[in-house]
Amino acid sequence: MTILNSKLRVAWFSPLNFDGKVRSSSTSAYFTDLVSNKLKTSFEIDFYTDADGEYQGTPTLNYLSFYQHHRKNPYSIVFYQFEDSKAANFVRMHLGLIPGITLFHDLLIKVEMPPPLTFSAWPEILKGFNQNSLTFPKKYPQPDRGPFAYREVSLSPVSLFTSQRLCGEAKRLVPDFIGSNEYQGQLSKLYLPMPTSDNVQLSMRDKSKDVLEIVFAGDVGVEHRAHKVLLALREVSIDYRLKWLVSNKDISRAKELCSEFAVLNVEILVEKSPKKWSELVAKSDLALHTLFSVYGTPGPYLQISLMAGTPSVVTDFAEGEYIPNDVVFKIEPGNQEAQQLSKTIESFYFLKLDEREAISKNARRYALENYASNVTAENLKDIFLREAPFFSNIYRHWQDIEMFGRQEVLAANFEIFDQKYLHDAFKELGFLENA
Amino acid sequence: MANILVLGVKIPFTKGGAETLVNTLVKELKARGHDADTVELPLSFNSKEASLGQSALWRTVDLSSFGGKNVDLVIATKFPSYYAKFPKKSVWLVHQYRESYDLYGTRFSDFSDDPRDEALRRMLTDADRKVLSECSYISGISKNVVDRLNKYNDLSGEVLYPPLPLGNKYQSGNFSDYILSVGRICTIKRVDMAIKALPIVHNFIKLKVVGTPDEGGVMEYFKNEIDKHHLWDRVEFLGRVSDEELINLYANSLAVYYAPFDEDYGYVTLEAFASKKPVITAQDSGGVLEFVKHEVNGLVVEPTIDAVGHGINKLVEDRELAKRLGLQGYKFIESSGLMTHGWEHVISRLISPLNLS
Repeated sequence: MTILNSKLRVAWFSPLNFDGKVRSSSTSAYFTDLVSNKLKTSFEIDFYTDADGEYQGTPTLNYLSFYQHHRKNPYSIVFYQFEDSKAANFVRMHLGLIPGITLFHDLLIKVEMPPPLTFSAWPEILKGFNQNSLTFPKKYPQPDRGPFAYREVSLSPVSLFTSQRLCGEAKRLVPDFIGSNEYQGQLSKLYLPMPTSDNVQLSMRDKSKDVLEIVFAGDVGVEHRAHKVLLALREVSIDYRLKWLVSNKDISRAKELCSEFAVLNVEILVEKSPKKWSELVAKSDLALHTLFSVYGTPGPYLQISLMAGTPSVVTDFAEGEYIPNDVVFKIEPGNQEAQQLSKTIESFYFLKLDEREAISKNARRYALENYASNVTAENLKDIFLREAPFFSNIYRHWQDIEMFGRQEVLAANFEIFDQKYLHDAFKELGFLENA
Repeated sequence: MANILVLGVKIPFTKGGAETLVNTLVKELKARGHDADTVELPLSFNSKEASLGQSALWRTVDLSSFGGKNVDLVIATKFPSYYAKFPKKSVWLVHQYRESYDLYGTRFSDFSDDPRDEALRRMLTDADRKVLSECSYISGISKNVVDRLNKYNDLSGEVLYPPLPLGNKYQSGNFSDYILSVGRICTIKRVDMAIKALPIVHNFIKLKVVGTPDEGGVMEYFKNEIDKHHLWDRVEFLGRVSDEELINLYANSLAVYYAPFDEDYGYVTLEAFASKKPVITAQDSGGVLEFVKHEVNGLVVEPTIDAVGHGINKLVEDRELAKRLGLQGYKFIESSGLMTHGWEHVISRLISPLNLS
């Protein structure tokens, strides 16, 4: 009797936090920490990276060995996480080698792409796959692609986004994607909220204290509005203290900005990470999330603040726009932001304790409904299960692309292997298999 | 005593560590009474697809007997010499076709997401695994090389560090006002980082570069950089030099710069140590890091021009530190056996298939 393993196999491509060695800047690694364990009861997951290590007690696999494992025991789903970070460059390389479900933490790319992708074949692959016509040019022209992840979205039959705005922008900017001619569900681009830990430290600040403890995790770039925050704080007439959590690369500039705006009661804290933010936000009265960016996302920081039940100020744009008004305080972007912010801070300071408490509860409730990691994990599980049959179809067709590549390589060697003695060697070495 | 062939790969008009390794191995085998010789085929990559033909070619060569002598053992070294078919085959792996392995995804590889590139990569990886699995004994010239075998081909092997080609002939002299760079001149060796660092290095310090280019356009690129930064008097290209000259250059350098990207092994490191000189290398220099420890016997810096420049200045400004680090390097190499008696172990392992029935 054969006992069938009912678990679907998932190949999970992502930067990881290995053995306590935290890649604090990797959103993908943070997401994996929160979600992957919760999926293990439903799926058999192999983790693929470009580095050696153990993750969750299991050795990780090198991404270049994927095809060998897939050939031996095929995966039902290949899951990629894309972010604008060098750590995720191997993901960018591989998602052109076999399509999958890709979770996008970013849509705009600032880091240098892996140089071999400068002349990526993706427009032809897309066309060839969707139209079943495999005629590839000898050499690819460098596509005029701009700074967006066109290639990565196009090559992902199912794209997920941790920001609603990015999801909308991707739908607008990238209408054609691999498998689009046969995709029935019209669910190819979806929003999957960035999760946070349900066990996040709850706000424990004694709200009756006179000094308002404010925290901020924006970086020094203009989009995060640090200059507006500092200007607002210079104007407020209440007793406050600001704790500003920054990445190490931003320390000098953060100090310069504070002195430029003559805001002195600021403590700059370094080594920004979700964990540090979680500890910090729990001991504060008010969190500022003033990002105003078309394509930037707050990462997991806003979610952590809400989950902790810490009242938060957001910009009424992009992610902030979708949050109900009774959950956060909103600043209208581009309209005297500093003045709005200082008024909001002062109003908050003078709120009664029960009013603060109500906002805190709303924030926590909203976060539990939307950002709890088990909610995200359940959503992802549903997507995996729903899309698995579609991907088996995709992978069947993908074999034509692979076969085409093999035939072309052999064609380039035709004059050599056509000779009897080399033909035998080609055959023996397996070069002629499946061609 | 056995008849042994060492299989090498020749890229005409160039000379690097792999050629030295093959020649030295043959010499050492002969010194132990074996009848040893080299078999080399030229390697030319006009296109990466041609690597299949080059591999298959090795497969077809009949190595069983020459001049009435039966060959007992072949020792393969670098890609694609290990494609040779022979009943008793050892491999002392120098490296595989790195563009499809560890260099994949970097600026040193042109394998992209083109289905043709991917097909080729898979063909080579699968075939490598097949032909390397045939070997009666598998080893690599460094931990880095053996780790790659394990990571990409799921094969294990033994680390056999090649002893120094000039044994204990290296000398130590003055700590003069120059930094020495030794090796093939190509992009991956990153000699350009040292050249471009010179403007921030004390201006009495020169860079002496030993080696010949094996990549088109690289010297023109260097010359442009030299012109751009007015470094005409500070960089000296010495080309290929005699063993005596090399010993002398090592002996009187202030330090040795050796920061290639993910190097397989690198004789240069050990030659520097044998000459009591510290090595300035980079955090991503691969096999070099198996020997160079930061501020113990050299400096391990970020792979940036600034970091290399500051590293050189540190040794320029503190010559006692340079001496101390160099001495530590020497102590290491002396105790490792790589300067003198290391060959006994290497050869006994490489010829171990002869004991198999």
